[in-house]
Amino acid sequence: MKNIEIAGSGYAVPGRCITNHDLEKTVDTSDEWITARTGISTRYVSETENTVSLGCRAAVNAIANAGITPADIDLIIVATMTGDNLTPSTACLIQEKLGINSRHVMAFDINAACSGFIYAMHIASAMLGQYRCALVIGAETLSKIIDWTDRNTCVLFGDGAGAVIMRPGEKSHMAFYADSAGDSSGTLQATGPLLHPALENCQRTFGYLHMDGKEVFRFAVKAIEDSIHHVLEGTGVTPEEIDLIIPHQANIRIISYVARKMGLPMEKFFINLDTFGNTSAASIAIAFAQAQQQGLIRPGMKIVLVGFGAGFTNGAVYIRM
Amino acid sequence: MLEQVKKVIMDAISVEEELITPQARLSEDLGIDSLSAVELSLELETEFDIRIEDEEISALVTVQDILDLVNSKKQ
Repeated sequence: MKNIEIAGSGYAVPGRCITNHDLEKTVDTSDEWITARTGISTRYVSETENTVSLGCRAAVNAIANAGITPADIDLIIVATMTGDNLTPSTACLIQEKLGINSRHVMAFDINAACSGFIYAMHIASAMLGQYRCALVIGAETLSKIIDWTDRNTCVLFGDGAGAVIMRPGEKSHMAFYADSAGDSSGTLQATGPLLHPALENCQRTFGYLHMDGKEVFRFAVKAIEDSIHHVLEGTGVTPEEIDLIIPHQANIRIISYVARKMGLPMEKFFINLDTFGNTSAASIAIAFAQAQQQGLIRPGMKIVLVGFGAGFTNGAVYIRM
Repeated sequence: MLEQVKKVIMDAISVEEELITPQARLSEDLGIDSLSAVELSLELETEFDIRIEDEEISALVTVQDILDLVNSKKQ
């Protein structure tokens, strides 16, 4: 286990809240259908902000919460699959907005879909030591890649960003686990704009997010359980002893299935997907920050963050606060 | 077999035992939606040590269909 602490956290969502009733007006669906199958009631969707803007607002909140200044940060990692550019990275543009361009900072993006924030924390933990203070952000503007006429996907997702400040600290310990299993079958994918024009049948248009919900459900429930077991290996802690589990906020049905399967009460799982929907790489970061704001995370507690997503990717972080 | 499948259905979704007859329709009588069907198939896979494909789940209409599917997989 590593002696790393989370010095602060913060989140940001765009201004426009879309309810299930709003979606009833644009696609053939109903509040009852969406709630029963997903647990989602509202989601926040950007009208004027992009991923850099949302990520920066979350970062500013985390910096304030940690009681540090931007100048203290020397590592910025952003987990996203909806960055504003192919280059420069979201992390570099957030560095500029934070006014620390002239400081010695390493900044870069990673893409591990909905597991991105777990992967980013894992990477930061390996780099802390050489670096002193990491700003780790999960930020997405998924509304850019959602087909708003597809009732199977448009009801699920939202925009937002969350951030934490990670630094070496004797008081808290962390353990990490990550895994991936390449899947080219299109079960969960958004095709990119980077196919070479010389390729046969090449699609030059940016693809919308496509998901085979049943297959993803199968993967997700196994990925969560496996990740929790693996991350706790060697910690001497059992799942029953965990005070709070913060899972990727994809679907209440996935979380309740895992809870039942593992024999854990639903009260152990932090849920905010009813409000924010699935915000991919941002979801665990937003949930952590919100749980901390609500006073649900206290010193001495044992917490697990667990993610799963396209790739397929999955992973978990164990934190003894 | 029916008793074992009944138990899996009761564990997977909250439904009263007397409603689970071979003729019972999964959607109309037992209120099993598409995701519940996936949950149910995961439970059946564990209970009977079989693999059920998505297309096979979609084709299930009654409890008898589940019994037939499990029987064919077990052979």
